[in-house]
Amino acid sequence: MAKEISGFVKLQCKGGQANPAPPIGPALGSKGVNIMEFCKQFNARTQDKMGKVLPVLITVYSDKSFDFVIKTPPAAVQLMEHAKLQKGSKEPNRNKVGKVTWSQVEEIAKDKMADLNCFTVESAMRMVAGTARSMGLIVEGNAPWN
Amino acid sequence: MSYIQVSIPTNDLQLQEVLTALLSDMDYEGFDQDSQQLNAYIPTSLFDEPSLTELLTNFSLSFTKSIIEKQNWNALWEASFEPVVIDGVCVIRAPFHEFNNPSLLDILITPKMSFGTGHHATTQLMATAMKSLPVENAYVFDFGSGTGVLSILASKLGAKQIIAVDNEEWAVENAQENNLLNQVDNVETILGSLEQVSASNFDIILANINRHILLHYMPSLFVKCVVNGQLLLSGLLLEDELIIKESAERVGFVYQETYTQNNWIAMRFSKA
Repeated sequence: MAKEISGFVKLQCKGGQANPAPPIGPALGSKGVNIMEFCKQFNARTQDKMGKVLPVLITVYSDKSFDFVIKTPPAAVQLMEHAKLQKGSKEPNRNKVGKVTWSQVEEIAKDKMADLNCFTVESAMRMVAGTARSMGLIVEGNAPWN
Repeated sequence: MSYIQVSIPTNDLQLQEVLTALLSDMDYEGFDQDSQQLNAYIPTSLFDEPSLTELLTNFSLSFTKSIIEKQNWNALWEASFEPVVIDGVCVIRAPFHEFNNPSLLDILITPKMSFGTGHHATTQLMATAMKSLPVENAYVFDFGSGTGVLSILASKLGAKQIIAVDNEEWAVENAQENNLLNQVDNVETILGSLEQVSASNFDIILANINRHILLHYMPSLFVKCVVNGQLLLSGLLLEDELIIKESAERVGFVYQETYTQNNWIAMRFSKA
């Protein structure tokens, strides 16, 4: 028989760096989950994405056990990585601090399509490009559909 | 260590994502969100209010902040966990459990948000492997000691002296409490990392951490191990086995054995 689910916890934390502090500590601790067990598993499974923000959906069962699913980093995090930014722009509307290419936008769009609720790659690319501009990145060249 | 929760009211989910990316570059460690706001968390010591204000002003956003004091978030689980029996080795239990298996070593742990209660496969693999090592009269190093469970086990298996190190302040405090609870007086627990340990003549080195840290410190672990000494590693998944083996052999360790439980492994090496 399937285990009874007592709740879900949705967080974003950095790969390889989960610790029993907020937000993980209060969110899981209040459900009676062994936080240290979660941190050990999460950190072992995300070592290749050290320091990158990763969305994680944790399913907590009535016996206090848990499962979790790690998603790929948000589009904005991937954009910063592609733009090789040390820091994002504090003035994104005036101060453009980096560049990405349309092929990089396409790569991220394909990776995040399911999360973006888009039915076509083009609409996902438009959303990712919008995210890029709003964080102070220039998308180089012409869009493929122009 | 206390944390600051910064709450930024915005129902624009795309903007929440952009802020998550920008704030993660400003030392914010974790995030949660709903349709109305983004919450970001940062250690109080790293909180830079002028930089946050400057960033959010550019998006015409405000924020509220609240301090979350350090506390034992794991207290609910710790109040009712089950004891763990590691076959042929020991029972790891809390003081509120009864001890009724005198053929096994008795280890008492009050974890207080530190790792090492025996419930995790890696602790069980390490404890099982330690049983077959020549621990008696050995000089042991416990790297990343958590609750101190492996140090205490080493002491009860007859080790001469154990040096333990952990980089989390609460874990060091907790290990010292557990040492007292178990009446072991030959364990010295130090706050810091490998660099804080000056000795380099350990007969047995125990390290249940993770692949990333173990790879980084492999050359130093080799230096700290005596000839004919033993290195026992865990915190590793099956997929980590090859890269750890290559790294250990590259610095001079000789591979001996891998112990497996579920998807986790412990690996034993020796120094020729």
